[in-house]
Amino acid sequence: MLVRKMTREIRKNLGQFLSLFILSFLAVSLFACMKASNISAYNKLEDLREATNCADGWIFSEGFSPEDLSSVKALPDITSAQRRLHFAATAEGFDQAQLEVYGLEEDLVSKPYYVNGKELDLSSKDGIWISESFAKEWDLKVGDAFSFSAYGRIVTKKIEGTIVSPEYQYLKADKDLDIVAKNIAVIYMPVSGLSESFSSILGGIPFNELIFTTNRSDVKSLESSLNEALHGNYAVLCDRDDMPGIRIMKDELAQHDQFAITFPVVFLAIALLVIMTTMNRMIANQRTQIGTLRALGMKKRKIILHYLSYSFIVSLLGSIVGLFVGTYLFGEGIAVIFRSWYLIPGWTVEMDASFLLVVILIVSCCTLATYLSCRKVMNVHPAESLRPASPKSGKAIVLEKLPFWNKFGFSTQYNLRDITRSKLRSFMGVFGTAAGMMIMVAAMASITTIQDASSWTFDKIQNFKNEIDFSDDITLDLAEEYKKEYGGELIQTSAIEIAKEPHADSSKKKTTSLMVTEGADYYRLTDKNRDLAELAPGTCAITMKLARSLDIHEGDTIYWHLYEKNTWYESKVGLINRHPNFSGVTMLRDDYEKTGAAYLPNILYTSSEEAAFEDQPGILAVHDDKDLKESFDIMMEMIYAMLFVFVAFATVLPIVVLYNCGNLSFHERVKEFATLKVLGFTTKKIRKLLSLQNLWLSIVGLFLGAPFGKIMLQYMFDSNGDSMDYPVSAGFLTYLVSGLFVMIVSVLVSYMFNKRIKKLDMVETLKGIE
Amino acid sequence: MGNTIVEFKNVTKQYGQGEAIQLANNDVNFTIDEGEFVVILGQSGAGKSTVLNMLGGMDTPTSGTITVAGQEVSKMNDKELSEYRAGTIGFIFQFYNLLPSLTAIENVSLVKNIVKSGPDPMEMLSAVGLSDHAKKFPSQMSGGEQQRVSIARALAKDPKIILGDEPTGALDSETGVIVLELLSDLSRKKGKTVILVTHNADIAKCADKVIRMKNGKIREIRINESPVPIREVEW
Repeated sequence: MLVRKMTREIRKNLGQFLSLFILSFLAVSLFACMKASNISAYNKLEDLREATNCADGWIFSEGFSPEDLSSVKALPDITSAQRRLHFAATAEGFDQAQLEVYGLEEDLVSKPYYVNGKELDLSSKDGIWISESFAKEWDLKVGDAFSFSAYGRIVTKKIEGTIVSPEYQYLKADKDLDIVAKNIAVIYMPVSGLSESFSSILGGIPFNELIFTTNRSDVKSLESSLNEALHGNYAVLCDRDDMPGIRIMKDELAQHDQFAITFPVVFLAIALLVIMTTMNRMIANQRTQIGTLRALGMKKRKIILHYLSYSFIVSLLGSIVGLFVGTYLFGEGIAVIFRSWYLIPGWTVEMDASFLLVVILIVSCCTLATYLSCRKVMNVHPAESLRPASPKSGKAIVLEKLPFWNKFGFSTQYNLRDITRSKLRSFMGVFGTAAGMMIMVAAMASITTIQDASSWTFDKIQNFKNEIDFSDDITLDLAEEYKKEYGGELIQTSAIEIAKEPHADSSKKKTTSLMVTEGADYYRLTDKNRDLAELAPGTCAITMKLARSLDIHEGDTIYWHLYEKNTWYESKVGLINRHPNFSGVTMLRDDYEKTGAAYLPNILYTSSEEAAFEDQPGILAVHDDKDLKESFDIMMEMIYAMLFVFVAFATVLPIVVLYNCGNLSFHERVKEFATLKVLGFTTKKIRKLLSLQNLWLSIVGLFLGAPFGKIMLQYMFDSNGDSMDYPVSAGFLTYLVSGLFVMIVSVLVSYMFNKRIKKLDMVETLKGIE
Repeated sequence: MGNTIVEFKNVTKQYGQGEAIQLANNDVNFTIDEGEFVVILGQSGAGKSTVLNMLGGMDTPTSGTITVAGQEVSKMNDKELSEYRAGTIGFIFQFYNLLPSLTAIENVSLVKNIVKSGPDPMEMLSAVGLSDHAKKFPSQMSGGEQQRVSIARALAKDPKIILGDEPTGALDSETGVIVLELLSDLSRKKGKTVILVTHNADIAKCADKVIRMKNGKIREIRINESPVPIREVEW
């Protein structure tokens, strides 16, 4: 019988229970959507690493000997190790795609994952194994011939298989601004296939990488023993976090993990507020019913269970629907997008125990909230609960002490008192609109922030028309010649490690980039306030976030070495600068050359309009400012796609919450409204009275939520890691548009009550029937 | 007595449809003169509250006409009914129906939002003897005091007719007497038309006119030639 009572009452209070359903659905589905593709990514990544025995550590040098390998293998914590040759090459045809070629003498660590063809055969002198992503783009099949050039030689080999490298989930060509699968490939091949062509040029095969697996979780802690084994004869030791092909994917997944917690928490919080206010009202209204049930001899426990079942069933339904829709619809959608960027074989969506935990958590939070609401009534003696509850006590509120309190109209005084009497409901209204406003501001500000970063880049930092990227075989003379011909400024970018002390160990140094400019005003620096700044000769600039993470200030000395070399240099920091996409150290060419390190530019920034740059020796690619702006446009497109989702949430939240507020407020005051109607108040006047409160709560929520929009967006941009510095820009217009949007939603919600007030049956309502 | 202010002509009110039809009022006819103190008497379910609700513009008849102060209430639309309730009627409820979040004086002043003219709210509160309680909230007052505030609220609109639905029903006899005295004084001293609904036959002794109802029909309309003073009634 109680089940029938429950289903009927859920139907009667459909608005509130639907809200509860939507909110628990949103909380779980958002979690599932962010998490489902992540879990699959982690699992498949683990499978990939296991199947390929992916390296834990990478050591780089100019060449490792067989003795070096034996010494490393002999270390107690090393489980497997091998040498390999790594060099960059260019495809013959195929748009001169960039190739990362690995010559192998053994196939023990970071073995390829096979998609098509046969497994790696170390005795094969003609075979190569090439990235599946590249082969697919160019329709390359096993058995096809493939030519590439390196060190001035062209070699032609046969494709024996297509593969995925465990070291490149993120694979982007240097010349591209975004991932373009047809422009880059990883090639694995037996080193014997390279000997003939390259031994004579290179003076043997320089095994410039030594890769290993270890039992230790902290690879860098092996540094001293490796240093000893190799007699200091290496440039740098890296772990997985240092390898861009692995790290960028890892950062992306970590970002999703963060979002999977943050966003659902907001919805859960609102769901709890809705439940508590709804159940509070329902139980207060059913006080005499509860009294009757108890007078009839029903056990307290049974009655409590009955009321718990309302929110339990509704939130469970919402959660379960959210679980499946979130995983298999939204999550799969995310996986589809990310599969096109990152290379993990078999990546799809999966659930794990945490999904069940989230459902249990949300359902039990909702049920607990109900328990807290009904506990009070259960403690009232049955005889007492059979009588109607004494009227809510009215009392003077603090605001009444204000000298102008009496100047307020009836509606104002009435609503102010009502708000203080129904704190939880009012808090829900404020919180819900604040959350809506926060999301809306974040959505609008994401547009202005990208626009702002774009104008920062193109109006201040980049003062050139074309960016000419040199290929690896460029010489300084040739570069200078191009500069003479087109005019402009030569730039060298290199990977470096920096620290606050020379020869710092891994924990104290950071891998970053060095940019060497000629100070010719084609590439300009901006200071902390993003105003143009000059780099004084004899000093270097360091980007703000990097400086902060290493606690470096202007005037400090930093120590650095080129990634593949072991010689440390020192520089004085003359400027803390900011750049949206570059993180690292900038110095002038003169100062760089004074260190004695070899100078070889890889970029020419020029204002020359001539377009015939490409297909000339030593030039890899030319990007004009339109190309460069395009990367911002792509970001903009992604933002616009996200905007839709954001605006949807920013609409649903205030609607759900304000509707509930209005609904509760209507039901709580329905007798008062009926009285007012008898006194002669018109429908319009009563609706105004009801909506005035929602309007106030919305306005308060608006102002409280607005600053958090900026904070939330900054958090989202910052979760991309230290390499991005996008200061969130939100102007007056952002707040105005967001505020108007939320207010319009709020006003529309108030009209939802128009009909109900009009239809309000004074006679029935005032009879005092439940 | 003066002119006719209320006229019920062949008024019928039915609820429900088909077999479940309930006749709350069945061919009700009566008139009330201006300034009369009238009691509509009947047992529970007699249809007396339905009469009062229709008279108060809270409900509409199924058939027949209701005319109040020259206006045909039974033909009014929603907006006209609001104006009618605001301008012509003062309603007093059994359970007072004061707004709990407003003080006594604020509850009375409330009506100034709809009726700009009329007496001063504080004067009305004094008239019911509650000037000392102006700042008290309903929960801080006794039932009798709350009912007096509700009378002051009705008076602040300066209505032609005051309707009371069992106004003493929730009060003890002593407090009931005070409230009834107030209401009868409104008729006798201020010339207001006061119509009360009650099941208490003793109260009827004080009225100028008694309309007795049973099963939705009028059984008797009696003019009281010599009404008993309220103080002498016991119940």
